[in-house]
Amino acid sequence: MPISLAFVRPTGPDLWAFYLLIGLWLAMGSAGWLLLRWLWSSEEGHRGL
Amino acid sequence: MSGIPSAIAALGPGALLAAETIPNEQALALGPTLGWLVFACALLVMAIAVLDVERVRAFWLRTEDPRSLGAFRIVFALVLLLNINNMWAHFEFLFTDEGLYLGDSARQYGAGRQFWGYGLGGEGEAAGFFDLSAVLWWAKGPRYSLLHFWDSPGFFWGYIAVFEIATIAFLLGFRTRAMGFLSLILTLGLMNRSPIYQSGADVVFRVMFVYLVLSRCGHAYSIDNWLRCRKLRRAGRLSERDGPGEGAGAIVSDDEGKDSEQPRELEAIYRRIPAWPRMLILLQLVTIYLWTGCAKTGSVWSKGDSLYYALNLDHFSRVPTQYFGYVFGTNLFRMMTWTVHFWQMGFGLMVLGLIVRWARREGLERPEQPWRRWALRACWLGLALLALAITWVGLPVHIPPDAKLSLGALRGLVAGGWLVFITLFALGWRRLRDRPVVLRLRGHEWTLDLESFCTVFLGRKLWLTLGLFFHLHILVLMNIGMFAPVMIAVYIACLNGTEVAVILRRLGMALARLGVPGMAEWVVRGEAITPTESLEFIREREAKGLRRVSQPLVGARLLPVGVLVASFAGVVAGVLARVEDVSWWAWPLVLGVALPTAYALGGRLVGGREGTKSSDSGDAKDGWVYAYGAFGRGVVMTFVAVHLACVAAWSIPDKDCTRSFRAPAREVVKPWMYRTQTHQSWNMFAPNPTRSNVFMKVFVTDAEGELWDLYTDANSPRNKIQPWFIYDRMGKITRRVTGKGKHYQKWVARYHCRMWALEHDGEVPEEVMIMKQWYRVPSPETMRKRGPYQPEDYLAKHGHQKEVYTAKCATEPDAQPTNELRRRHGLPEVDEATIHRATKRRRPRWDSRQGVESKVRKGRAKATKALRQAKREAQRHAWQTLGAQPPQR
Repeated sequence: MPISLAFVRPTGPDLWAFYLLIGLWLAMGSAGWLLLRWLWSSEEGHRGL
Repeated sequence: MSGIPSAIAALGPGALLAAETIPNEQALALGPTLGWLVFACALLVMAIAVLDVERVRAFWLRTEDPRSLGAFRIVFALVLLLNINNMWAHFEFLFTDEGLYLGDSARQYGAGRQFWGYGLGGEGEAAGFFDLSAVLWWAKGPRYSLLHFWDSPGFFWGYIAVFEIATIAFLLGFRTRAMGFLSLILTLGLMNRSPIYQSGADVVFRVMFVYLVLSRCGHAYSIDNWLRCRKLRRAGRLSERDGPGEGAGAIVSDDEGKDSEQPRELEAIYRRIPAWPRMLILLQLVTIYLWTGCAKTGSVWSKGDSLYYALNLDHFSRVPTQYFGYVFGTNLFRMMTWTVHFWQMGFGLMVLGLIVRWARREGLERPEQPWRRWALRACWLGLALLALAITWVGLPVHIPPDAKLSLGALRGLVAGGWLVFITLFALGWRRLRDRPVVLRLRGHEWTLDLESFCTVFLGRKLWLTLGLFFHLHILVLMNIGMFAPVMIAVYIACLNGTEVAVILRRLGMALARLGVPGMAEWVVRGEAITPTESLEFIREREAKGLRRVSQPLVGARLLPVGVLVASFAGVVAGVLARVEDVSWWAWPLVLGVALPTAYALGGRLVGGREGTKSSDSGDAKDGWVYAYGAFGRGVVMTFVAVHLACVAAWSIPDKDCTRSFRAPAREVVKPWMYRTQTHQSWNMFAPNPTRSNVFMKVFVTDAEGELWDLYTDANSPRNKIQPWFIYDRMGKITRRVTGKGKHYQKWVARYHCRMWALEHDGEVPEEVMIMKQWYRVPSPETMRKRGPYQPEDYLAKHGHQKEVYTAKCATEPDAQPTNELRRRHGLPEVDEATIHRATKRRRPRWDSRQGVESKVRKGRAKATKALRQAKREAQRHAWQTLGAQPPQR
């Protein structure tokens, strides 16, 4: 199927739900980055089991 | 034509239509071969346990920081409270005699076998248990619930109040052990009274709660530990953060600091706890993901459309998701679906990485004797080759009919690929362990050794982060209940206690910066976390004879390997006897399981807590601290081994090619799984996610003939809101009633007959009709072409409906309120003859139970014999006619 970039524009509830999804991805990206940074760091306490 | 095919042919084409799936005879015929290969794997696992016994023991019986399970306890109890209380609106429907079932019917149709010896009361039959053997029969379980005995709304509200108090006390860590058990018992009571509402999340709660109450999770972040520390501090017996031991425990003399003839113990703030319950939680997490990953064998998953369909299920719609499907359904969502599937299948690698790194850190790398090392390598290699053999044998029934490669070519590819992989794995492992790889790029240097390989590829960074993303998507976009929160809560158990402490200190520092009061001074200053009880302190305490009975033990005597081998031999003999259908198969099995504990008990009685030393027993690893004495170790290791074996047998995938051994294996472990309340199934969205939205409408025709729509469905316009925060169990109930749980349809209709009468001056309506309504979700391609849709409009345009059940309320059993209910609601009583009950008297059946049991036994033996004969014939038939076969499930 050829890729088409012509999309219906979201309106009403679709619009705010779309913003929510983008917000979720941004939040998850930030949280993931923080998690990775913390797990890479060498703070006190042993790592693992 | 013979055996099963001939039986089907004899019944005619109707039988084929009636059958849910047509069994693949070729796959069925592979069952015995696969069963023996799996059994060989089990033998090798036992051999590994014997050969590597020191590491196995050290792993399961070690002690650890309590803060991981302390934090998990708090979050788990919180989500449990949310999970139970979000049923608030349906409490009386689910759990009382004014709900789905009248009390007697709940016993008879929800736990009929268990309540076989329980009378209804009334003519010729006393209410309650008939005799002591009836009580013992009931005690065999598994549906234990106080709500089977008392289920009036008044009792129920008292019950739920006790549950709330016990769970909050457990959350706060007040009388943690007792409150945990009480809360668990009451939670199980709710689940056992009313299975209709339960989903995968409830199974997670049930199983994880069992493991959690077995742990000493109250040793941290609890009122209990706070009270203990306060008491010790007052007595001058606590190791403070700024005193000797810095909180990790110390032995001091009375003249401050120097050892003396009379040393004094300063106890640690965070005492070590046994680690095995947390290890069970971790392995259970792997089981959930691996099971559900393996079960997702359908075409929707392979095509990558599962996320699209899941987001378009209207019962789960937290926010409108059709536009997401329209934009991302044919691209990003497919990538996400495949990533989730890959992640679920591979999640176990994370636990493997954790164990490997732990063993290396503790210096537990390899057994000392060369022959043991070689034998271990041979066992691991054997397991890898057996895995290949299982794939080789099962491949013919797993390739689609339109596969582009021939069976021979596929087998060659799989075998070649697997052999290359295990060779590279073994060589790579050795290389990374002994001679790490150093990579240089633009002046930077990276060293890849075994530790960093396990940290990156088998580490929590990768696997937990992916899991967190997956569950957060579910949580935010889908109103699917508490599955995502409880799974995220379980991730806490993937961190160790000091990691949890570091995270909480960071959080505390951040909150203090925001001006939140109440943070400890050391947290605000960002000082090092309070250390765990030190191992040196434990060893010193033992050396100076200060250890008390419940405290960890250093290097006690171990169970002789001979006892372990004899135990495994008993289990193997039991399994083989079961395969051959020998009547006494359970005896060697039970003896094998009981032997280590019996030996340990003997050792305890003769040699005290450290046990006795026999010729082939050795001391534990030098200075290794164990959580228990000899007897405790025997009991815990037996429990862990039995439980792991039972969960493994219970988890055998449900396929035609496993049918011959899956059913008998599950039959053997079923009593354990049900009585420990850890029975489980994780076929979530598997083998394919549902692609239809199904709703249930309930219509009442009242005594005047007027029709009323009760708007019972969670998705009905009256109930649906967006964004949808509260999870409504009626969605799950609807799907169950209109789907696999068809037997519930009549009970739902009868309930509405009764409720209508109670709410309309006792007037029973004419009839209650249940209507199923559904529409197929358009494919991602169709959605992409046509644009997003409004679910209500789409249902009106493309939906279907059909009547699934109609209850005539005047004559249907249990469709009229009993006089007791009428009295409760202040309604006039009616002639008992107008009240029809669904329950039957049990006394006659109970009195003749011996005869019945004997008949059942005989019938079962006859059926087993016939089935075996039919299987043999089917196997012969399958091998003779290897032609076009129905696809493997």
